[in-house]
Amino acid sequence: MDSAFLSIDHVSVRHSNSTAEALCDVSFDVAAGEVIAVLGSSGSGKTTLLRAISGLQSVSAGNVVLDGVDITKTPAHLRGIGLMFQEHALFPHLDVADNVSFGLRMAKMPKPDRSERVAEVLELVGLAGFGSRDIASLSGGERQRVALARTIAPSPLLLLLDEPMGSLDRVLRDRLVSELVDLIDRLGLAVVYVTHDRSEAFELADRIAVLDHGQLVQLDTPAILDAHPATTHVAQLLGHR
Amino acid sequence: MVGALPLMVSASESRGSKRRSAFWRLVAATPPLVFLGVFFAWPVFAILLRGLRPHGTWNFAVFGEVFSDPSMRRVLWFTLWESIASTVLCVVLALPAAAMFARYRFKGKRVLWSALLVPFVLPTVVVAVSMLGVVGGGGLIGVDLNGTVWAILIAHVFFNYAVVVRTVGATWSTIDPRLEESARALGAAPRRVFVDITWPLIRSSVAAAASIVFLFSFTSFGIVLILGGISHRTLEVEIYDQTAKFLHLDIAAVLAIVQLVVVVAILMWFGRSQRRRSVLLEQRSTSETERSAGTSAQRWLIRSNLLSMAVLFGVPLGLLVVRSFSTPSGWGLGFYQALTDSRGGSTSFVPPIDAIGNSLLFASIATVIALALGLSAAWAIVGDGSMGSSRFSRWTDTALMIPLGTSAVTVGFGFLIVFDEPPLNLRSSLLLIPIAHAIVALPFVVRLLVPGLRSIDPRLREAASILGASPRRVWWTIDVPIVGRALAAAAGFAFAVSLGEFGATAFLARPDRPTMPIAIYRALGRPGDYNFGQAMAMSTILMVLTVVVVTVIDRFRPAGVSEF
Repeated sequence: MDSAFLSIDHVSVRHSNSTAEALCDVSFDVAAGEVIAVLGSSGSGKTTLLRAISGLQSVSAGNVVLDGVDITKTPAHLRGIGLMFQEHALFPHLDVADNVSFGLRMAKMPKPDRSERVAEVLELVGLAGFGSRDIASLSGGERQRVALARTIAPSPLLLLLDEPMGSLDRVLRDRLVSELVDLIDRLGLAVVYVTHDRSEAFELADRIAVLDHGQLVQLDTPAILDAHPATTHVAQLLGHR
Repeated sequence: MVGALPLMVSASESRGSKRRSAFWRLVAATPPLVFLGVFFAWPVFAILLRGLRPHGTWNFAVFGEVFSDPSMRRVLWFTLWESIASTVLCVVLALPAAAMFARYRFKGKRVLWSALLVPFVLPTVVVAVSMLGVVGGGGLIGVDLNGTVWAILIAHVFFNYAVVVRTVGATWSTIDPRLEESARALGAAPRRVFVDITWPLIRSSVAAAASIVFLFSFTSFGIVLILGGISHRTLEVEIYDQTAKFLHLDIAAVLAIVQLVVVVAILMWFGRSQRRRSVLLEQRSTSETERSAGTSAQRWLIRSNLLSMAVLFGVPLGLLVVRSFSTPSGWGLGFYQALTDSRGGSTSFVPPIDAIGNSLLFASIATVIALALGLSAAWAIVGDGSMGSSRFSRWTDTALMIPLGTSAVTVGFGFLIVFDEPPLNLRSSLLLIPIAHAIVALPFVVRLLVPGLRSIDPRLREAASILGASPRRVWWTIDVPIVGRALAAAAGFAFAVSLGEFGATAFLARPDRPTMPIAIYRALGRPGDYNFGQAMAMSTILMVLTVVVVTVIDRFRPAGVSEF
């Protein structure tokens, strides 16, 4: 496809201490500004897929092409992709502002611009004025927002979210998901969003990819997926009987 | 397989990068291992040769001589039973305190837990001098225990009390008290609860602590040299005398070999008890396991423990300070002023005050050496955290722990044999003492740094990498700041160890460059109140210095490292 912004091309991942493939010949494209949700039960290879795209995991076969450039061999820190971790991985020795500005510092942005950008991003996630707070003093929801702010601060080309709502309670999760939908719309970023929660996937995604045992079993819009699940496993994941 | 996957993801990398990482770990392990090889293994090997091949031929006659000499057999026997007695006494006295720290909340608990480190790192010479103040003829209790075994045993308990309390207490505090409570509810009397539930769970940590106490008592040098008089001598003291007084290097070497065999055996046993310890049940955090003392028996436990600690530590150290100000001509700074005095009768005599500068200089150099090597070693052991504990890291870990169990006297004696002649004549080098101190401090440094490095969540490094940090910048922005606290604590420990080191230094210090412990020992060796007063004044200064350093350690101690 010519219009593809991100292209996953026959990607396989094999862990060195395992015989089974964690990802098996997965191919799909993401258009600019498109939100793809990756749905699957635990162990289906969702996280491995994100790690392969971000470069934290090297692939055993296939290519990853971002914006026309083959980045398969590019080290993670040079890919310019934003990844938000499941447990957030906030730096405990830095305060909120320093966490958020970390990527800007790595990109050698001058200091005044940096603090301006940090303020802007914190405002965007609803944490204006939190800059000097200690990470340990934050609530679960606040941590999640800081992690998001840190990820989008360097203006990544592509946003990867690994179960960002994983550790939050239901009420908070619902509120944050709708905020996230709003934010993604405004930023116009291409997003790959990993989740095991079908309601999140349906609310956020333009298209949903279903992974099972490392294989891509279906990739369709929520409506088609709901109406025509490809396998019984997909139907089960969607909560059909 | 499904459930295990998320863990495996972080444990996986392509084969090439795994090999690369293994290569760098090997590179990191090289400096500390080479250092240990040259400054530890080689001297020990030289001792072995000296004992087994005295004149270039294999000859075990000296062994026969030593074992058939009744006075040597007395030394061996005394060393053995004195260490067993010290260990038993220490464990019996310290277990209730471990229970108190593990189970109850009380005022000043945190401060007291930290303060327990002070006796552990206090220089042996200082402890010996303060014991002289308590048990000597003119001492507090009116009975002259000086030269009796009691003075030695009490001093050993003084030192090792914290080892047992902190090692056992840390384990004990992770045990869910509901296990004990449900046993109570099932009809077990308190004693049965302890025997059937608590003891099996803490047993291996008691064994670990006991083997450390035994080791320290077995290789005790400064304490026995100063408190033992002529009748009570351990192997360490005998090795020192045979070398320094009688120049019987062959006999000294044989004694060192005997000691080495015992130490290695104990270390192996210790290793086994540690491995057994690692299969423990679900651990609880302290906040879940401690409660306030409810019954009067529990309050009595706390009170009696606090009282015995006050007596054990407060009396000797308090008396030391008081007596250092109590000159024959009344209260004053007389003894301290005397430290600057240069009249000593011999040409090599230097004012004792110089020893402070020497000690600080040596301790600074030793700290730098121990930190550089320790950081390198810790990094080799931990790697980037993605591989868990490989055989390589376990092996490196064990190799670096060996000096912990080897006596300082062995190190000093070995240095004396090896570095006295080409190819490496360091006898007159100022570096020799700091190197010996670094050898002694290295195991502690590694022990503090490894958990610090391990505590870094690998995802933090990944997050930094995703945000554009190159591997070098990841190390600089994530690893170094997070491990910095552990590094500061390790620096404090190395500094304190060097300040107080006596065994190796006794062999290596030149007459004109004494360290503080050496100066104290020399002052004790000269007759009269005036010299004893100087020893107490110098001991007080050394104690204050050590307390300051330990306070610094405690401020920077990384969370989760509670035993040392």
